[in-house]
Amino acid sequence: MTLVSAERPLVPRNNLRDLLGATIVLLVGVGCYFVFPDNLAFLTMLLSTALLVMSLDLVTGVGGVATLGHAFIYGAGAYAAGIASVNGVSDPLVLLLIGAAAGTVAGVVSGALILKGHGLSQLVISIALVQLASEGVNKASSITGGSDGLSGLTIGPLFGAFEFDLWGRTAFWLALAIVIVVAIILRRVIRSPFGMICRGIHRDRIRVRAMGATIFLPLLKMYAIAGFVAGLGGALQAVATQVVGLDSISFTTSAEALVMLIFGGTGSVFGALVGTFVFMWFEHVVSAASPFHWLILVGILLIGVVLFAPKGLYGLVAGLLDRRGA
Amino acid sequence: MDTYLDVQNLSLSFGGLKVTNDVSLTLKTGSRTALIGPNGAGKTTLINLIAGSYRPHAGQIHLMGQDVTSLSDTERVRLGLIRSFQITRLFPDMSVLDHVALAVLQRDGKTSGMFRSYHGMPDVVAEAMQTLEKLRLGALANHQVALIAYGQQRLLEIAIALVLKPKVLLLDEPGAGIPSSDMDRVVATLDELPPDLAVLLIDHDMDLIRKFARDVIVLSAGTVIFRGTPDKLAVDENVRKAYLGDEI
Amino acid sequence: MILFLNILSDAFVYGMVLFTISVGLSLAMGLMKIVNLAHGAFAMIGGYIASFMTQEQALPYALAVVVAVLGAMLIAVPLERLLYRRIYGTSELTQVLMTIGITFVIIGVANYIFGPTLKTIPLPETLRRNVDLGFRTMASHRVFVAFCGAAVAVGLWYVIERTAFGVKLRAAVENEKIAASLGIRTSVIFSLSFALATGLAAFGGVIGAELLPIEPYYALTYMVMLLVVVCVGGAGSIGGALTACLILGFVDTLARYLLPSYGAFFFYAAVILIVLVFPNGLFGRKASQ
Repeated sequence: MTLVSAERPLVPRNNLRDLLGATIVLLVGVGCYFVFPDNLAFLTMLLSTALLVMSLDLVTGVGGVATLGHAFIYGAGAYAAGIASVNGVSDPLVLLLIGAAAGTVAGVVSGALILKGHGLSQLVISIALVQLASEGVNKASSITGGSDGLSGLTIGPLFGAFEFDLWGRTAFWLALAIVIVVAIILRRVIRSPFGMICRGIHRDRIRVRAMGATIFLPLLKMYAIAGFVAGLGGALQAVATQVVGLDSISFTTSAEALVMLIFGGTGSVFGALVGTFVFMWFEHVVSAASPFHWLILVGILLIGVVLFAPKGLYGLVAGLLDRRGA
Repeated sequence: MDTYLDVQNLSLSFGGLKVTNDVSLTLKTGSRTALIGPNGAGKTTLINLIAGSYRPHAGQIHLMGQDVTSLSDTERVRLGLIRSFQITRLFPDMSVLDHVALAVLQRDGKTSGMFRSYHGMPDVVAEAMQTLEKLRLGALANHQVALIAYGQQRLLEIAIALVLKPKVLLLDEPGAGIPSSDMDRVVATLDELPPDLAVLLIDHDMDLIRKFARDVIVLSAGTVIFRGTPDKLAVDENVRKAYLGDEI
Repeated sequence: MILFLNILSDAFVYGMVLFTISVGLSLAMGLMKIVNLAHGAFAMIGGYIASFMTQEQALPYALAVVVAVLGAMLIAVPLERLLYRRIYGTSELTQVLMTIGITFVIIGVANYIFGPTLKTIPLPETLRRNVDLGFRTMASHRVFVAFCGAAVAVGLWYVIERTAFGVKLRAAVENEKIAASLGIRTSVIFSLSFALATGLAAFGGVIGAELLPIEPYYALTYMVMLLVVVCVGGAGSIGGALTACLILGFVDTLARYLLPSYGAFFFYAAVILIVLVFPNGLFGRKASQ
């Protein structure tokens, strides 16, 4: 039986967990930097994907919205940063901000449409939206590069001093810092009164209404925040890899993000990080060998998680920690 | 005495079936009114209509003199019309304190805060704990709702309703599903409700009703068939027919 | 005018293929309330079996169709008992994840067994001719497909409205608990309905192979389309599925004729619009409170 400990007050305990998690992420990041110095590009890609999956956690894990269209927002951030870069903006932080802003707008648009549906219609709208965006980006090839994407983005040095070199060191540290800060902020948002309302909406809308709270606006706000984070992630990918491709705004990316989130566990932000890390490392190793075997493996793991570990990897760990009163 | 709730000629049909048939009722300051009737009479439907979850096809509802017929359920809550549910509606993975604190925050319009947990707001915590103590749920404050006894969940429902500072309170079978050994807590809670609060209570427990209600309304097949005091209830011909059928 | 008739006739054929594949999904979703993203994978399985039977085993077309349908059903039934049963009544998200997982496995296995190339199902002589429709000639295979779709629609209507099985099915859809208390063995109904739905999908996958080519990613490519059909038509409604398929088939074909490079864009825009305006589908029932 799991009892939230009644003796120790919850606030200090949650802050402790945040710090602990952030420290672990930092340590793992530093460790990877030294153990895999030639894989920094992949690790940076992993970190930018983590932002996408954390963003999805807000909407799906916390808010309970079933969406397979979240890459629309991520891709919007990536393309916004990419297009700005091609048109002369070179400061990386400005590019990140542009991406985050584009993501916020895309998030609000997504929310406004997707939240109008329930169940299947919600899912279908989300899929249609990302497909629509994908087609649109493909057709607007004069701006977006179409199926070739945007390439050769020139990124200026970070803070005027740190160049984005071929080894990807600057990009990696920038990405790691952003992910840690965003993770802590999002955990606080989820624990805040606003976060509680959204969690309540996920669990029981009718009870939330009986307390006098509406449904649409809080979820839309959550979509805006999620949009900022995902847009930031997309922009980070553009800045780090200096290319932007159609896959950043695809249905496949949306589906993969959802899979990563489920593997790690929803609603905790740390679960999103764990899921992204584990999934992408596996994919990096296994998929190179055979994409279809990878697909079978993912499928079996998905079925397994649904049947046996619905709380995901982090959920299992957190459950154990709760029981020991950590 | 003020008229807190004035319901006039409320009607609702589902398909061809009239589930609420020209129902009127009035609650004044301090009313303790019971709404009873055989199963399927439409009691919960009536609560849903008054609370705003359903729209009537005809009739009006006035709350403290204000016409609320076209207002949404959430707007009515903010005006002080609070209801509880027959089957408990809570958030399974949040704590007991979380629920009451959330209600306090929502009541005071403080739910847009995004950076601080309510634990850092001592007023909110104090008021929530106070309400929990009143219902003797204080020790369970940090317990996960999914893990507490059903009877305690029912009490939490009432705690949430109370902390929203109701002017009119609609209680839908507060004792439903509670073993009779735990009923005294519910009865005590009902006794200790603020005296000027207007309360409409649905229940089947006649002991509870006799102890609690000063007025009784009997609903049968969507129609009001009796209005009066509990003692007159037992001898009313229409009520006996409704419950026992025409053969008796 | 001729152009318009061409568009209409092509759209009709396409719509009929879609209908044959998706009507089973609509019924399954209406009955078992399950979002089954793996439905397209069963259509694909049918196509693969038929291709194998005609190419490798030199079976005649008609027989291959039967084997394909039965084969798909044989695979579906244990899946229903072992996996699908565990997610009845769970959240949409859970069902999406489980059925995506099943789809991935099927795609991977299909590629492992059959390889990544497109598979064809050689048609018998009668279906390779051309039929003169007056305003155009059309491959007889396409006319055949249209007839099959119509036959499926009529046949299903008959089964559901006029047979004992259909009565029990409708009762279980209306209210599963009451149906069970009346002695209707709902778990058997579910299994049979699931098998029927999958069989229809496989049938559609086989006869539609000329239009919807069989390759491992078929299951993902048409997943979206099938969901859209059920969403627009309303789960559980044959008439709805038919109407949705014809409309969507028309929109898609029209876009392909008139705006070949923008087709998909306008298609998805149309989908969003339709779903927003008809959140419960064209014929769907309103979700309960």
